[in-house]
Amino acid sequence: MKRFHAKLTCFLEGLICISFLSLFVMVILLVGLRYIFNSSISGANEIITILFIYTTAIGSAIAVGKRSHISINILEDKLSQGSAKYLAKLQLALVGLINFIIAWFSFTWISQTGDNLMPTLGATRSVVQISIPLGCGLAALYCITSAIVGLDKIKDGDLNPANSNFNSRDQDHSK
Amino acid sequence: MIILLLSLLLFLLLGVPIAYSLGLSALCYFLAHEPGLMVVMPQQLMAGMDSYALIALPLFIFMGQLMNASGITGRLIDYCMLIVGRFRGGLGLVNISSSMLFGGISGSSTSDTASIGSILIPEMKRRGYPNQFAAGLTVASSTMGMIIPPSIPMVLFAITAQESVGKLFLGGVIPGLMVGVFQIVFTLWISTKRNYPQENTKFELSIFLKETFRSSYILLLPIFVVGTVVLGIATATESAGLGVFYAIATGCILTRKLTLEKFINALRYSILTSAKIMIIIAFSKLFIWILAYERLPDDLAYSVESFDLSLFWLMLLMILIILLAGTFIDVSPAILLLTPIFLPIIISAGGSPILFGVVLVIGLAVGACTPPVGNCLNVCSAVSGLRIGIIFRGALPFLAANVLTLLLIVIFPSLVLWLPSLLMD
Repeated sequence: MKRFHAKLTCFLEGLICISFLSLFVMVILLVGLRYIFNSSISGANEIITILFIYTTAIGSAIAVGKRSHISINILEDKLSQGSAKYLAKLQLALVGLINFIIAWFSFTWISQTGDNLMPTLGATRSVVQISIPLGCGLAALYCITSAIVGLDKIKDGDLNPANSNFNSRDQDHSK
Repeated sequence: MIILLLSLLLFLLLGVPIAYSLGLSALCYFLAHEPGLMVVMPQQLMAGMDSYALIALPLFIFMGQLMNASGITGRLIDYCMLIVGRFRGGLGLVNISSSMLFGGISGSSTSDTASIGSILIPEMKRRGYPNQFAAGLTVASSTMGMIIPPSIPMVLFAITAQESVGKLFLGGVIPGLMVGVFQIVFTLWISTKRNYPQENTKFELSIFLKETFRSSYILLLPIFVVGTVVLGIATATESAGLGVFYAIATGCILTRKLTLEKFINALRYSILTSAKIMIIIAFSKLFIWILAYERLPDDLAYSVESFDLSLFWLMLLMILIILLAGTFIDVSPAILLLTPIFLPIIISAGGSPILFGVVLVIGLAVGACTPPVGNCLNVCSAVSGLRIGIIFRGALPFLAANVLTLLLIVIFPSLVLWLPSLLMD
């Protein structure tokens, strides 16, 4: 399971890096075309936004897998290591639950509005809407794999909460 | 409504990530009141991310990371040492002035704390400064990263309030410099009182001019980024993209320190960091939708209007609420939650959205340095190895500079509004 978790993360990180670099190249290209050739690419802004939404949806799922989302750890810091481990499991369960529910309702939403066309590209909205169930589904999957990896560690006697604390790795430098 | 707020508090206390706490509290609300509206959840998540302007956020983060990977932090510190190192408490002054310059490049306080703190805190300790002073000053000076343009929270406010990014950038220039100047004055005063050391550097005009020329590629970046937005040459997103291009060129050609490994690390870090912010923005959109559905902003506006407060007192009240909210809520969700509630009240009282945006960002920057939810404190704790409480006590005298700036810009709004009206109206 650990190997699956790591390989999935590696694959998805590669995917979003390519997506983000494509987005960056298109932004630069648009500025260059506008000022040098007085021209533009039809639908480029929509493609950039689609790439951005997919990057965000998958990136936030990876952050669930790395347990690096921004959270408040007042209670967790007060608990013993063993209790903190179980609190971390509860956090995983809640994050998994909300992602699963959103992924579930996404299908109803896409079936209702997914056939609408995007103004410039002319593609159906479902092309971009699928990013929501994809991101939420991956996040729910990460919660399951993280819970299993964590349980294995409990069997091994490792009760260090730093292994399953949401904010313990990849300190957030976002602000 | 009570279910929504209480459940949010519960999930936050349980340590559930902020983004998912907002989603879970929305789920509780829908289950209790409107189960038929659950389909709104994915729809609002998409609405929260579906914005071309928001793409500026990851690009600005990437730009800051690339510049840092190109080794600019050391160069900035050396440059500031040349200018202010010889005064009493020289390293403290270098810390503040480096943050002022770094703020114009990274747009982020935590990035500033990590980069400058990892170099200057150990050096200040070695030179005999108390740990509390060194770490506290680093945290407090990093707040300028959020205020001096280009600023990521300013972009977020501009998008939420549908205001001009360029005007907000310009509105933050004078208050950002004021925070820096006040912190320099406080540091000089404390250092003289406690007899902190001076550095053995001499100021010579020829060396200063030479070093300014050598550092010009760093100093030009914020001018280039803000200038392209203000002059209408590029949108905020395009300007951030050009900034990334500039940072890559700097790292590859000028400093030659940007290796492929550093580039990929900066890329991965920027994507994941922006994804963490973006998912909070997306879930905040859902939360705000419920607040609007319950007509909370309107009700609150009517209640405040009934007190018949003048704009000045209204702004002071807002500052108190923002400082309090910033203590408990992270910067991004605080901007997204407070802006739709307070901005209509300020506008109806005749206030300026640009002034409110700058006040909001300065107030929340203080919040980023106060426990329990102080990301800058967490980063500084990791860098310095000190407890958060100790760092916070050290930062308090310098955070007074931010509060003083807040009061002054409320009394004299032209400190914020003069530059945008001069260059953009």
